[in-house]
Amino acid sequence: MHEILLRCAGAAILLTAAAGWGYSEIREERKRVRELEALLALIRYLREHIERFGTPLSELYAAYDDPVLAQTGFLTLLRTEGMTAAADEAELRLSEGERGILSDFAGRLGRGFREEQTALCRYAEDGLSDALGKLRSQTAGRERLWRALPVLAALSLLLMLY
Amino acid sequence: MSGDAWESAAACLPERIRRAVLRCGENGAGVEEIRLRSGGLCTLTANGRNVSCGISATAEEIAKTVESLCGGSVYAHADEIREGVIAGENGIRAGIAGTASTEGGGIRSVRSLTSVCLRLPHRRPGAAEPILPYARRGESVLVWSPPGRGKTTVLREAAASLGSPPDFFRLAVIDTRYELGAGLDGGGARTADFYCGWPRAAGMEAAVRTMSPEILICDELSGGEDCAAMERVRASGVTALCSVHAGSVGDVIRHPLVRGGLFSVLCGVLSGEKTPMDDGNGADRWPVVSLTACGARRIEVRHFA
Repeated sequence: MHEILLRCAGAAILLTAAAGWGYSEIREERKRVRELEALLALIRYLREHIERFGTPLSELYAAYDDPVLAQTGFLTLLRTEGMTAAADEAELRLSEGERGILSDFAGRLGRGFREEQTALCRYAEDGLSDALGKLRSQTAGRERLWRALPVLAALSLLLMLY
Repeated sequence: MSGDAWESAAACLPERIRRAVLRCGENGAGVEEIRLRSGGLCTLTANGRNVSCGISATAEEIAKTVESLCGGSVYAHADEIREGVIAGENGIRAGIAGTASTEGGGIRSVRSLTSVCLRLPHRRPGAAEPILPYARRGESVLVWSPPGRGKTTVLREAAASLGSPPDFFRLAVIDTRYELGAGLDGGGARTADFYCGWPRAAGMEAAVRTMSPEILICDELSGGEDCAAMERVRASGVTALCSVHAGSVGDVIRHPLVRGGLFSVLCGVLSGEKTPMDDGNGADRWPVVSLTACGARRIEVRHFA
């Protein structure tokens, strides 16, 4: 009886750990999607204000708020040191391609007149929108995998042990 | 010249140029201008002398300087750039030169910038003393000189004095190129309303129509629209303190503003050596004359040290 109880407890711990690991991986995937969405929203906000009002970047950064970007440290760096520093130093979960788009955008932001800046924002929006679309479709598949795989692995281990 | 303006100007410069300027500038003492030229010499103008910094700026360094002056948002200063001037921090005004992109006869934008001239504000308390008594009595004064001799400084000091105790005149300052207000933060002109960046004629009309000034101050008037607007200002009973570019008394007498009798006092601003004045009769007179040929009651000359 004692042994059966121990075995059940062990199995429960193993399955819980597996499910927990799968869940944390799903959360990471979703964070990646949210960060990319937040960056896209920021660029759209900048484009609209530059296009319509010509508001200086320092004022736009000061007025902008987003909890996802704030969590990564991006907003603080943006307000204190500018877009280039924020793109380089914030803890963003971006792929190499996405980081390249953001760095290129940051390097040219603020340097030209309104039409050029609007075109620059649209270019960055297009690039990141494409990346977001691909990420979303990949994430759906990965979520299913992370839901099933850890639990299956744990069950396999249990069968082998017991 | 305030240390803040010198530090702000130096901070706008790329590292290589900043080092050279700081080496030549002697902590900014007496520095009036810092000039960067793409492919040409970078110079300082200090105490009336041009000093070479020994280096040339690249096009990229010029662009970075302009970007820095614009606070990282060049597009937000597009209107200023179109006028050829950028208002920076701490009263710094930057003149720019480059390739104009035109449309319909007007300038649409300025690109491929090749020169930047950072003009540092400096106060000369007392510079406006010769014209203040006239302004206080309601007599309009036209300050004239060739470029770079201190007309703007005279008007700036006039604004500081007339807008401070014990005067407290209601002033309207038409600051088209952001120069008249430079360096006045917290230091005078406390009863002045500033029209920064306004075209002169539009600024004068708006000020007279809506702010009921007692004295209107405006720099670098030209002909045409400015004259017509000044006629309306004077017809409203507002005293005007203005400036024009002119090389000699003969030039200023022929100016439409003077021929129209809009000013009762002409004040020439000269610096450096004494300069003979041509009064149109071929006679040289120096330094103070009374002349009635142009309709003005007096000509006085202020000699800056």
